[in-house]
Amino acid sequence: MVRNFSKPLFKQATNFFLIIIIISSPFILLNIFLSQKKSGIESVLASYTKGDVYIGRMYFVFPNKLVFRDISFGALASKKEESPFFAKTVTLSLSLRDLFLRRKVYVSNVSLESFRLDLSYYMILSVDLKKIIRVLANIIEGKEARISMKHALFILPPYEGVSSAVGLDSNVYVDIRKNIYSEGEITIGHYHNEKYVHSFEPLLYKIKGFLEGEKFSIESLEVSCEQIYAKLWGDINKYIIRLQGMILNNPELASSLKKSPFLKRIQGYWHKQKSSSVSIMGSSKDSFNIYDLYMGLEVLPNKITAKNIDFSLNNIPFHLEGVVSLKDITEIDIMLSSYPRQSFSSKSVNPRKTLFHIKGKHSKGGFNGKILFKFIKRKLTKEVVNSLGIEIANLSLLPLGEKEFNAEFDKAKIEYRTGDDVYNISLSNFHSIINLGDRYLKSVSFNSRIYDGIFKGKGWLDVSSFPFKSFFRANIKGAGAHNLKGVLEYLEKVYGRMDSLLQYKNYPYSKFWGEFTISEGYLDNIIFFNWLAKFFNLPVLRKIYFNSLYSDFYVDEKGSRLENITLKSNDVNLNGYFRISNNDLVSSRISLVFSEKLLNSSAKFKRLLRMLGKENAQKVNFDFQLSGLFNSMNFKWLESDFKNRLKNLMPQGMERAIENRIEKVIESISQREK
Amino acid sequence: MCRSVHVFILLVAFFSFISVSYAFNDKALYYEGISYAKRGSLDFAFMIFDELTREFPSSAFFEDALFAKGEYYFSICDYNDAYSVFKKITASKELSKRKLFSYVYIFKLSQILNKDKDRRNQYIKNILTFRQITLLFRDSHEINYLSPLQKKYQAVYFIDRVEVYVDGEKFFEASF
Repeated sequence: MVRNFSKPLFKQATNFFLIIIIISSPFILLNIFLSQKKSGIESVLASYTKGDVYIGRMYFVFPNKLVFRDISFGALASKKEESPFFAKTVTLSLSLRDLFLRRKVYVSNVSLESFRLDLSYYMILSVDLKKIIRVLANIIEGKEARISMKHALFILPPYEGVSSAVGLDSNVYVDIRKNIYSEGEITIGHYHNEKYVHSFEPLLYKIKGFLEGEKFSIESLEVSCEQIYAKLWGDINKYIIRLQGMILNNPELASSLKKSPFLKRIQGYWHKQKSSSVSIMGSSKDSFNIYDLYMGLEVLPNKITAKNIDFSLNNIPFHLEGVVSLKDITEIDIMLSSYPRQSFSSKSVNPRKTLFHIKGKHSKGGFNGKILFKFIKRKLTKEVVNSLGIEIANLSLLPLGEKEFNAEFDKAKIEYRTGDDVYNISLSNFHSIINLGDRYLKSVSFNSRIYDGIFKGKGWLDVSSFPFKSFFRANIKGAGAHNLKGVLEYLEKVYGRMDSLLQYKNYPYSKFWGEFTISEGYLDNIIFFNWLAKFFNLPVLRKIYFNSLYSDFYVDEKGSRLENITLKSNDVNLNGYFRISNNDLVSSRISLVFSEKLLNSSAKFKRLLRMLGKENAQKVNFDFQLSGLFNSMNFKWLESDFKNRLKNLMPQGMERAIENRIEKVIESISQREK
Repeated sequence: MCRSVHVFILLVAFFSFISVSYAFNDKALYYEGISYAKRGSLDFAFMIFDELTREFPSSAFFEDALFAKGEYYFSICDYNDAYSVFKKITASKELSKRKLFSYVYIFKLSQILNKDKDRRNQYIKNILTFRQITLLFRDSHEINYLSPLQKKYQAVYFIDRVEVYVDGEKFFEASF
């Protein structure tokens, strides 16, 4: 029985084995053929790519797959990992229907895995958009196709050994009616030592459209990133991209693109059951939401022009226009403006518009140019034009890790204008790390040179509610006080090394405050001290050398203040405060103490002291109160024992004569407009 | 020839007379107005000053007469006319005492008429900084003005504030 059974079984197994061999032999032969023709295929491909092509392995997989492994373009075989284009696996699936029924070879499915394109070599943005659509339309003429990309990476030109990169996982499906569907995710990060780390949450997208001649109509483009969700539609016609739609801060809508197909199916079924219900697309009140977006972009080879992009951000109309030129070096000229409470027609000539303008060139990994932010701010009773201008050299922005960036520049001249007042400051060798990791609290730490000193600090931005709350804290060490006259007008006539603590917050109201200490410096040619020098014949007061000058300072909507001013020197000690209101009016009290040494330096003053019976005085106090305009202050010599004695000593009428004389001197040296 | 010389002499004489009479009339009118004001006839004084401002806009007494008109309008509660008169005085480039007290009136009128809200701080600033003062031995500096309607105006500048009096009564106060 066993023999009777084993014979046919053996025969069957042999037959089966033979059948397998017969069936697989063409494929085995094909694989042998492919491996032999590999170099031929490489040279054919090389003629298209203008560089060497290397294919690691090439084989056929039953029933219709042609697989290329370790394929690289434009590099030597020995250095294939450094090639501008490298793909771990490229799989081409042939259409069996076309092959058997039409006897045509048609690739119906392309799959790219671990694909990497270095844009230092290939300027992808220089391609012709019109040609792409035309070629695409010809290729997919009446056929189905699928393209999938897994772990695709586009590497941007490097800066200091680190490259920014764009990651892409995508599936594209084209049907016979030229409908195109695609979905996937895009990440942005950095590429270093053949390792890619993305810095943001992936940006998910889903697009649905169709080809119509040379036009690609976009029925729906959905994009989401974290809580942001965008819904757009429009078309790409020749060189023009037109899109309309909205961008919302809505976590529910944003997460809708993330759902798994299984969950989607269940939800789809559920929604079908409740088809009568209305879904309302809403947004949270405290966040940024863009409605009425209309975008017109002209994409020419090497040049992208934003002709007019209009949108409404939290009900404030905005307009954006500009050009990005991508020839030898990238040139940027972009202008963003907003027009509160104005009609669209009067926008371009509206002097009240808020304007953000960036213009410059990007080369050698850095941006060189100017950034201008201009806006109207209400100052007391009138509207004042404010502008912040930054002239920047070699600005670079590099991702460091997840949601962390390094921003740095070589030099920046910063100028802030508010009405007729101008403040300016220069920074150099600026380095900062921007951390966007926390959902609500974003931070930046920085250090920089500020003239001959060091400027170091940290800032925070709380985005949990609108308007955003910001706080900033920084230190200045060893900067020449006089150099900072562009920021604090008081410092124009103050020299010495300055250490300072600066703090700023914009909530509940805008406030800038801190303290400073200036060491081993001098006050030079201050009008008030010049007058004292002349009046008491004490020429030393024209230039007061001090050991230290300390003050707290506050700048807010009410004005600016120097409090607890303390000047210590061998000749003079000074205490007091100095306030300038937002109406530009001064209010100040200053107490001066002159040392015995200083008093003895003036024969006239010594004689005066003798007359007053204070010849043995170790020190003399002078208290003054100041008021009025900064450049033409009123002042009053406050009551003191010294003053009373002097007053009693003077004959009738002399007080008035002295005062008249002093008034004339003061008027002659004040900068008051006549 | 002789005839044309005569015509020329006549013309010169005519225009000389005109200018003399012009100068005479505006001054005469001004002092006439003052004499009415001194006698307490403010209505007649106003009529005279009004005539002066209408007939002699280039007169040296023009702004004083305007100030008198402003005072009169203010006294009869015709605030809109008072406002426009004092506005004219403050538009002048001259830093006169009239201008200082006109600013005081303009500030008061802007409150009464509920207008110029956004400029009131500027009016106060103009008053506070009208003069740069130096107080060595005194506590204050006074600016006095006797108006054509014979009201005594006094601005007392202290180091931290200004007080304005009209006929001895405090009319305005502001501090730095």
